[in-house]
Order: sequence, then C-alpha cells, then structure tokens
Amino acid sequence: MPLIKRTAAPAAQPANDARSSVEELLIDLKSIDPSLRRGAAHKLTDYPQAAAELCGALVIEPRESVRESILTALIRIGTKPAAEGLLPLLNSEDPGLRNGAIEALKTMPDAVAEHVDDIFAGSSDVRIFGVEILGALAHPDSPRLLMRIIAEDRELNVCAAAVEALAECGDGAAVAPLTALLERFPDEPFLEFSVRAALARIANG
Amino acid sequence: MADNAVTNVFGAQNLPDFPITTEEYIRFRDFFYAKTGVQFSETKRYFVDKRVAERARANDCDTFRQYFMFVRSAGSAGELQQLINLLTVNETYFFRENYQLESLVRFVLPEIAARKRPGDTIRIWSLPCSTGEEPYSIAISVLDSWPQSDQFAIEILGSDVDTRVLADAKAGIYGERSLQNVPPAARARYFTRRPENEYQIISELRESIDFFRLNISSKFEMSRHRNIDVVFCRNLLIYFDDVSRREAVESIFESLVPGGFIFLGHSESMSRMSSLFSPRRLGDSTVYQRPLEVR
Repeated sequence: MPLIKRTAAPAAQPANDARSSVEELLIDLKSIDPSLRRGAAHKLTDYPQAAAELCGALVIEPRESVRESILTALIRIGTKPAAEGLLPLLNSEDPGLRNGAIEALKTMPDAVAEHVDDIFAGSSDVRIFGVEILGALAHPDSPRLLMRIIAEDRELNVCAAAVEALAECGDGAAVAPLTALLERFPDEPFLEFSVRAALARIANG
Repeated sequence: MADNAVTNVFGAQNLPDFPITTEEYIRFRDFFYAKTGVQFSETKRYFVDKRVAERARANDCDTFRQYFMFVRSAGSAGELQQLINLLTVNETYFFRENYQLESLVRFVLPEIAARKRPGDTIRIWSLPCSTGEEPYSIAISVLDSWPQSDQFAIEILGSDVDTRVLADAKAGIYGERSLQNVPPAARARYFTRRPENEYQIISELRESIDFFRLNISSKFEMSRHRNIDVVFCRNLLIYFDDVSRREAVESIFESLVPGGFIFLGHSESMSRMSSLFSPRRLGDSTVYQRPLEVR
C-alpha cells in the first residue's frame, strides 16, 4: 500500500513559534519577502496599536496575498484607528484596494458610524461606497443614516443606492422618506421602480 | 413571556428547568466564538441551550451562571472540549460528493505528480475529518482509482477539533448507512464485517492515516502543518463568521504548497471568502488552487 503514515507531528515553524515584539513585526511588515510580510500581518492582529502602520503598509503593498492578510488583521482589530486608516482608501484608484477597504469597513459598525459625516462629505463615488457600507453594517443607526441620505443627497445615483440598501434593512419609518424622494426626483422611472420595490419589501417585512 | 421561557417552532416552551436568558445566551455565544471561531445565530438557540443544559447537569451546576463560570475557569479545559464536541456538527458518509474525489484522482493528483519526482511525498489533508469517512474515502479513491499511486509516498492526514469523533475515526467502525455509496469491491477489500451489521476499516488502512486534533482557528496549531498538497475543507467554513473564515482560509493558504489545491463543500465558494486562490474547473468540480507564484 503506497500510503505512509507520518511518524511524528511536525515541529512548529520557528517564525510562528516565537512571540515577536510589535517592533519586530513592523520591521517584518516591510521585508522584501512577501511570506514574512504576510506572517507579520497575521501576528499584528494581536496588536491593535499597530492599526495605523498596517493601514500604511496596505497602501503600498503590491502583493494581493499580503493585502488580504493585512485587511484580515485590520478587520480583526476593528478599532476606530483601523477604520480611520481605511476610510481614505475609498478614494483609491486601485479597485482591489478600494473594494478591500469597503469589505473591511462593513465589519466595523461603531467605528464607521462615527465617521458617516466624513464619508458623505466626499465625492459621489465615495458616497455610493458609503451607502454600500451602511447597508451591510450591523449598526442600529444604519436605517436612520440611509434615510438621511435619501432626504438630503443631491445625487440621484447616491439616493438610488440608498433606496436599495433601505429595501434590505429599512422598516416602516422609511416609508415617508422614500415617498418624499420621488417628489425630489419626479421624472426618473428607474428610481420610481426601485422605490416601489423597496416599499413593497418593507410592507412585507 | 419570561425571557427564559424560549418558545420553539411548535409553540412549546423549551428547557423550563434550566433557564438561559437571552443575555446569557449571547454571552455564551460570544465566549464560544472567541474560543473556536464558530458562531451560532439566534435560530440555533434551542440547539445550543439544550446542549449547554445537558453539560451543566452533568457537572451538577444548577444555574447557567454557575456552569459558565466553571467552563471559563482555567481548570476546566476538558469541559470546554466536551462542549465543542457537542456543539459542532458531525454528519458525513463515505464518498460524499464523490465527483470531487473523481476530480482528485483524474486531474488534481496527476497535476501534482507532474511537479514531483517518483518517491516524493504527496500530502492530502482532510480538515475536518469528523468520524473518518472522508479521509478513508480519499484513501480508497487514491488506491483504487489513481494509477500512479504506487510511484509516490502518500500521506493522508485527518484533523478535527472534536476528540470524540477522532476516536471514532481511528476505530473505523461504521453502520450500513455510512457505507451506502461504497462499491461492493471496495467494501470487500477495505472493510471487515462485524456483528450487528457493522463494518470496520481494515487495520492496514486505519493505521496508515494520521488522525490528530486541530483547531483550525488556532494560527499556532495551523502553523505546524506545512507542505500540504491538497486540503479537503468541506462544509466547515459555512459555520464561521466572516473574519474567522478569512483567517481560516489564510491559514490553509499558508499550509498549502504553491500550486496546492483546496476542495470546499458544493455550496461554498472561495470567491466569497478570499481572493487568495484561483478557481479551477477540473472535471465536475470547482477546485481552488494556491497560485504557483504568490500574487
């Protein structure tokens, strides 16, 4: 039988075995070896104080695999500084970086909720990303914030995105602002369709 | 209704003799999640409450609070393991989703073999292995259906966080229901008949698989296992929350050799978890490959 049994469990990898200091890990995060950078990102999960450095490393990181590890570490850290470091990436021209930041921010409800005004002071693209984040955010204020957007935002596409998000997380309180939105944009059939669909979904619970 | 009087879908109140409040349930759920990466939704409440109550009674604890303090105390690590055993799901059978095993022997192993020399080791890891049906199915598929199997040293590893199922896997005793997809020839070759319509994997096969306890959520434990060629991680990650899933996928990525493969359950998609792997359509299966050159 060609099957062989491993005779002993392998020893731990030395690099993972020793507990490194945050200073050592931050040096590894700048290593030319991507596996060292990934390993450093994994371990920096235990050091919330490294959030800003992780965000800085993420911006200049060329390897997708290392970016993934840094984003996972930031999601696990999930603090306000982590969110603050990710928010500027909503403006990034690099779609991988931007989408990574969006996915990470969706997991940071409290930190994101504190920065809603910053997000919605940005460009219409950033505001649409902000709506996407709010729609997925497990935060009790999300529906209220989305209602504020459809009441105030001047950009049709931002409002349409907010309508879609409200269809998922809104309740009866969203009916009046949704109806009012149709008065702000009276000649937009696709918006009317979206609003009707959202109202129907809300009515059906 | 009192908070502790949970009503099930049939309208009956559950566990009135061992009340667990919603607040306590959430505390327990968070604790269990922190320890294992497994998260239970509100819909799993009855399932969780029932098993927590069972363990509390077994330890002579009269209240949830008393039991929770016991589980959290450093001296009760064995009790946490008992809970893990009870709360993780272990349903499987031989040749489950057999099309993936066919893809393994028809496409994946030949591709791996092409990068190796005769006599080299090929490592296949069943994670989680539950009661052993999956790693034994892999072994039987490799032995019976991969013509090159004699040219390589093949290591099959089976891991699970549940020590009770690991003991069952090592014993290799199964009922008729588990064997329903096993072809008669394989049944004759790899099983011995036992009383009461049970079958046992032959000792040669049992002894050639390395079963060991492992918590996939522990980066340290995962870091001990490297140079794996193929991982079967089917129907596990669905129980994880997003961040634990990302971490588990990254740990598996590190465990695989460049070019190594991972099989997920048929309802799972790596593209929803991570962009680390490249999807490959091999036969009837979508298999995910760690790129040869790390991106």
